[in-house]
Amino acid sequence: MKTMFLLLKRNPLAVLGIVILFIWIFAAFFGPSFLSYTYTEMDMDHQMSLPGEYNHLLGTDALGRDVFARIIYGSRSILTVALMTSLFSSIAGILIGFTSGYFGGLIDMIFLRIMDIVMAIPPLVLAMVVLGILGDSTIFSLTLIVSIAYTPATARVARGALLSCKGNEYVDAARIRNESHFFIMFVEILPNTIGPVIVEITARFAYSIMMIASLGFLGVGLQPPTPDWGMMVIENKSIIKTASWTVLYPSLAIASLVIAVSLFSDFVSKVMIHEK
Amino acid sequence: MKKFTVLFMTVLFILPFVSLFAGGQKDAEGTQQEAEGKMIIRIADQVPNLITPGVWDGQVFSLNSSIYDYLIEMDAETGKLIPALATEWSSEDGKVWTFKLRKGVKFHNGTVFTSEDVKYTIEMTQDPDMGHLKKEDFAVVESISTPDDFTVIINLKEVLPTFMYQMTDYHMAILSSEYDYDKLGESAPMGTGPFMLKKLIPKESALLVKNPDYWQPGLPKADELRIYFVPDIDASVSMLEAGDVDIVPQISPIIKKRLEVSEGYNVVSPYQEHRYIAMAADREPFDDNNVRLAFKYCMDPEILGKACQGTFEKDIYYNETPLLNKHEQYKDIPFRGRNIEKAKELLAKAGYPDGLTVKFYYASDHPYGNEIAQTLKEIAAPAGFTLDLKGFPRDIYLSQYWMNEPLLLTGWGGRTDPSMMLTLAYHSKGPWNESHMNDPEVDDLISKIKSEIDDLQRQKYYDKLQEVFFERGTVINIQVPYLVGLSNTVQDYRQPVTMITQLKYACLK
Repeated sequence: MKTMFLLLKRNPLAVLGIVILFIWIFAAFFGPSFLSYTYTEMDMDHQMSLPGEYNHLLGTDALGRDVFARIIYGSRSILTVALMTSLFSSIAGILIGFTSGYFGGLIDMIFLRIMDIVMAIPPLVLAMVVLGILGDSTIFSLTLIVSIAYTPATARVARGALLSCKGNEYVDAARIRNESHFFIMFVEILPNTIGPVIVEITARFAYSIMMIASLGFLGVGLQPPTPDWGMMVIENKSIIKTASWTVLYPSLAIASLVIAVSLFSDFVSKVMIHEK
Repeated sequence: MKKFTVLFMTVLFILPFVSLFAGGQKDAEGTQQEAEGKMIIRIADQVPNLITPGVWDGQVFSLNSSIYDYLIEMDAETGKLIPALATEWSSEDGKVWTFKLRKGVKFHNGTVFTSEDVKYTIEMTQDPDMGHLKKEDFAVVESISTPDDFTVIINLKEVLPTFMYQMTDYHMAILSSEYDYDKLGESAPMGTGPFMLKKLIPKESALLVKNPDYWQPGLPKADELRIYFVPDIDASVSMLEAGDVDIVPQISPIIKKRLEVSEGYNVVSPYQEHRYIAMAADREPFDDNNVRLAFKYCMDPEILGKACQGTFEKDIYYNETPLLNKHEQYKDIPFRGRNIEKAKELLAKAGYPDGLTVKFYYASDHPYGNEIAQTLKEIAAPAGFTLDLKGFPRDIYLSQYWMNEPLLLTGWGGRTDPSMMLTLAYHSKGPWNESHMNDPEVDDLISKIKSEIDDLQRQKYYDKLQEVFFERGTVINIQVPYLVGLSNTVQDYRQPVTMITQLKYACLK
């Protein structure tokens, strides 16, 4: 812990990332209770009003909806989906990667080929196709699709980490003690390989945010009027010249969250290297 | 091997330059033509699916309305029917119709236009293999005779005093009886229209040139039409702003705002079209008229108008019948008013005291779709309606959800006479009866409207029908302006309520 604070002290960018991330998490949890508007409320007398005008901090969109309220509410869905996605893809990735690497042979080959097939399809295309078939985007379906798209990468990292530890003496000792495969993989090996896996998870978190925002931008994200940040950008791109704030602020929100998570991810990586 | 690698790298290096020169040639072609003083109008239109007149979905009017002609046209300003390929038409009893045809008209392939072509065009509607979209409307035709090359007599099975309006429908472009549309309709469309197809790259672009033998003296005014099929409306508008095109049809109200603040553009609204909110009469919860009435009591046309970037009763209209407020047959029934308490009361009466959740399907990429859907969700919520919005691209909406779901928002237009729309969408046997209307009184009134010769009596039926719709109808009719973005160099852009663009009149300053 002391080392972490020391590292933080030496790394102001990481501090910045963590602060921004905490601001967004705070906004997602408590922000709506401080707002004067809901994300669907229409102020039809002040459509496309300028930031700061008529009690609208970041202005309004073409339907008179408060841009600030929509961004704050939007942070909930994007953080929820991104967090769940990172969690699910990590659990699935670790399970698959560890099973594959630990048993090796035919099992390893089958898992690897399946992962190759999934990885061969660009994640965004895979998500768009599946969402197109499902016909309906919900938080659940988005989480599922993005998790599937990102599981192979985590699985490969987990497999690599396991292989580097598989031949260690403590693993042999566990085998001699007749411990179960599950015990060896998840009690003996996992704690010793958690570093790269955690780095991978935090990196996936940033990718997930980008992917969710991109799906919203492409019109296959959450359904309106849910204030998905990517959707806010696409909804208002036609009025970028007349009401630039309707596109600018959601874009800044996406960028700030992605940068914050990336800085945090870098920091985690440094902590892991330092601990090693 | 080394030689091969060098050769391969050289080819890789040269390829981009080759494509660069190809582009240069195209530009040079354009510049050369412009230097010759040709008037070239460029249009960014939607990407068409089928383009053969009987089966086309009406998405790309600039192409078909330029290649083909119709028997009767509509005057874009007055809304009156004017002669086109038919110079006159008459019927004494509404059952036997005589069309006198224009002489000296030629198809683009040089064949002469005669009554056989009109007969062929109408008979094609009943071709079982074609899937003609006017099949039901023309099933009323009993026989067609052609006493001479320029007279067509159509005998109907029943009296239809408004039959001539059917000839203005955009599917009824006149085809040549000597041309194989089965084989060539999609790749080499050919008619008597003001422009002839010179080059068609499917889903990409079309080049049309002036028809030198066009029957209307002095028309078309332009020498060439270049139509680019662009899937994204924002990309089309960017082309307009960059000066790459002169006309962008079917823009959204938000884009109208964008163009209005810039110099050099002009947004025109040639006619009003419908956005029908269809409540299926045979599906829960809208099978109960109390729910339909409750939903109607939630409406706020002024808010809907603002959401559509317009002003209520100036460019946005509202009623609860299938007719446009601008139709002369429209009965001015006073707006029932927004009354949330009444709506709640009706919902409770229908068995929904705590409100209800309904999925609302619409085409999210169609102008006004998102605006209306999101506003409805907001204005219906206080009464207890929770609308679960389901917006899909128009193709998906039409192919998967339209006609199948209890609550829909669909764009309609192009029917010059209200009876055409009524037969199509509100008769229990109508092929596009999206709200599943099945009301014997409505069916009876539609049949009477279609067959009544006396104008006054017909208007009485219209009045009664609209009263029925107001009381127990399945539709909320929001009328929005069809918007076209023009470069301010474009003059005389005409598009009447038939939706058929009349680009023969258009010219550049």
